[in-house]
Amino acid sequence: MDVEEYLKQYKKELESGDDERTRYREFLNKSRSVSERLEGLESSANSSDQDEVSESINIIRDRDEDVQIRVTAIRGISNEIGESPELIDLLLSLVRDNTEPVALREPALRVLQQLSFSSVVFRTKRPEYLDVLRSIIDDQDAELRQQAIGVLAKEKDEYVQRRLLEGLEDPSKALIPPEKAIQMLGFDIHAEHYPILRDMVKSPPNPAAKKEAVRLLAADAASKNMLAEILSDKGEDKEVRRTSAIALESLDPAEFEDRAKQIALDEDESDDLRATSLSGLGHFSSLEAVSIDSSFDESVAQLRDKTASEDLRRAAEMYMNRRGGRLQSTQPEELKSVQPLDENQMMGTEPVTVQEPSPNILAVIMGRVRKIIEAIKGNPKPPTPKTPAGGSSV
Amino acid sequence: MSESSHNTKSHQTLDEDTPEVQIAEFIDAVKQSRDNGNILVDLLPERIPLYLNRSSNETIRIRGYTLAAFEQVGLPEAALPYVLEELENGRDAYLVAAAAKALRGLDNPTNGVIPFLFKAVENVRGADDSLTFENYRPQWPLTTYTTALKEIFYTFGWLGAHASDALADLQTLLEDRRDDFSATIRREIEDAIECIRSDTKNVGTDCCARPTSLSPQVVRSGRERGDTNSINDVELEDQEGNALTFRDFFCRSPSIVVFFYSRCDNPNKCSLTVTKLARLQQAIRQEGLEGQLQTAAITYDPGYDLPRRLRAYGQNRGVLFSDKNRFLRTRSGFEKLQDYFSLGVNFIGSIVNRHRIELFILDDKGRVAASFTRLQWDIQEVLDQAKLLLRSSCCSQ
Repeated sequence: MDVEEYLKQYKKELESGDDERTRYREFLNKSRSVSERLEGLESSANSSDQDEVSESINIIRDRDEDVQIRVTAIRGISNEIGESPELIDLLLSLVRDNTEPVALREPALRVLQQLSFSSVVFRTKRPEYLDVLRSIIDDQDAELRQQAIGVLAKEKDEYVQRRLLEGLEDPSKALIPPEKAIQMLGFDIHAEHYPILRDMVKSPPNPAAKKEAVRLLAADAASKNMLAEILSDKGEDKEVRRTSAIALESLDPAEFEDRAKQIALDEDESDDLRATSLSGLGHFSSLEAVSIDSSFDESVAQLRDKTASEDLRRAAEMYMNRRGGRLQSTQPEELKSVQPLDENQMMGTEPVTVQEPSPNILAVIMGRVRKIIEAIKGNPKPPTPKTPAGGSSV
Repeated sequence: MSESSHNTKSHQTLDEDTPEVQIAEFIDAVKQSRDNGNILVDLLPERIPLYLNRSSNETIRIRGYTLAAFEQVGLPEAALPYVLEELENGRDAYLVAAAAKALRGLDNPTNGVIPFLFKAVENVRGADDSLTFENYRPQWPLTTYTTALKEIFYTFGWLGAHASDALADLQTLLEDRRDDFSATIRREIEDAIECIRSDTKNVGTDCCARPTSLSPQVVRSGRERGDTNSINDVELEDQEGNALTFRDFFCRSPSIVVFFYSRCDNPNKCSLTVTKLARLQQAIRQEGLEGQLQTAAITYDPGYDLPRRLRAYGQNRGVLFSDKNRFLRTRSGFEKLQDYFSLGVNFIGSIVNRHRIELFILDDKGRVAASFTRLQWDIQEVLDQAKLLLRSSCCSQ
């Protein structure tokens, strides 16, 4: 981007920043109706003006205020909240307070979740945050419960693991559906849920729970045989078999190869499972081990030429590409579209093309630019970026 | 006193099938009387049946509740390595808090623990938690709670005059790094500083006093080393998929071997161990000992740490592989290695639930000549010990 273009864009940002501040001041104006206050205000609208921040705090605290207005005020000063231990405490108390509406508590929790990643100050509040989350896993509102459980589960929290396991062993104590509970426990491979998962595979409460249990057993070496049997069981649900293929490949690549080869060439098997097997063989299996099975390679080549299934044909082609294109196709010349890969392509070390940043990343960058512009407008001297506090020695 | 010499009733009656609530009741009963610390020490070795087939969190609860109890029953010297291990390397707030509390059971406070307390501050600063030792397996909401950082700074204050060397660093935390701590913790630091300053007793010159039990190193002479008959035929596989036996690799040249597993979630343990192994390899090369000393890393998790994972884990941490430098998994007989090395590890199913840091120096017959366990080993100390072994091997030939 050249300098002139940059200056034009900068000026445009200043102007739109002015509009946004005006709209935020109108949002704070209690004499206007709720819809007027919310109208035209972008969801990312933010203020760092101290007077506006103070007014926003009063709105957040005001139980008589409209819930949507209070939520908007929280979002409006989320950056400020992240820099203030007192404001973080305010949000924590809102989330904990079950006399406050869920429509307020839930967005407050989401803002806290975001701050747990982005705010340096938030790190000092971790004990209080976890304490509040544990307090609300029994909340009446299912969505709030699940949100809190999700955060704690990702932290490998012992309390939430304990409660989830209780719920799997005794459904009357379940906090969330079993397939969700399994998913949550799966964040920690050191949890004690593998025997429960194996039982769940044998006697699933529902198909989703079974599939989730199979997925997580990929971390359990003791479940190898079970996963291999599921993969080979033609009477088993397709999705469960596909999940077991992925799990088995992780645990025992040699066993996976044997079974996957059989499935890939078995015309009584479903095309998508055959395609999954070939993809697995092509992507993950050791090139040396598979390449010595020339009869299998020939069979794959024939499969590619004869199958009516596009997915299967593509999977076969990908497999052949991984073998270095050494196989001769039986297709007519004009249908040969596969070019042999060179060594770099086979080893995945070919040069990477730089892509344009995604729209989401651009939105984050523009949000930060707006904040800098706000700061410049409030203070003619350009702001200097904050240096991170302290340094970890670990 | 070595870890393996404890042999009391308590350790034998509690096992993998003992319900947690019963274990907690046992600990609560022991807590009623001061000087019962030796009973609780028996609950700490990782390899005891108590921890078999328990999840990591269950293991943490039991160990943490045990460590915290030392504050009341007194902390025997045999327990000190476990406490310091947790402060030096632990990342779980419950265990770190418990270890900090345990130090307050010392009859003879020492400033030798100060570096460990500061290390614990850094370990747990971003991972602190609300916790309680008032009862076992508490239910939320709690009426009151403590945190690991609170307990650590409280222990600084408890050390009083013994912690006078820590004053400058505590002041630095308060002044230069105040944003790293909440207002509550800053008050704890202020209180600790005040307690240290106001303790005017003369503690003598225990400068750098480090109880002998803090040394991670154990050395065995030739006669003490036993033999490797039980493990010579244990089948191994290296990071390239080559099959070999224990005898093939370890009975041809002195070796330095560490234990690890790729799914370890404590960066101060396995990841750091392997990274240091890579640096040790470098030091061996620099000393011109490459042909004389082998290095190896053996996984605790042979079912999951297949050759491709062994290779990736080592390479990502700077390890160079060769005929004399390998990563290994057992294809069978891991239990034999576990017994031979008295490994400090336990499992839930096939997954590690708890382990200590361990490095062994083996002579050219594969026998353990020296071990460095539990606390972080120093690369130069390990190399110096290995060189002593090489020299003694030369002299005996």
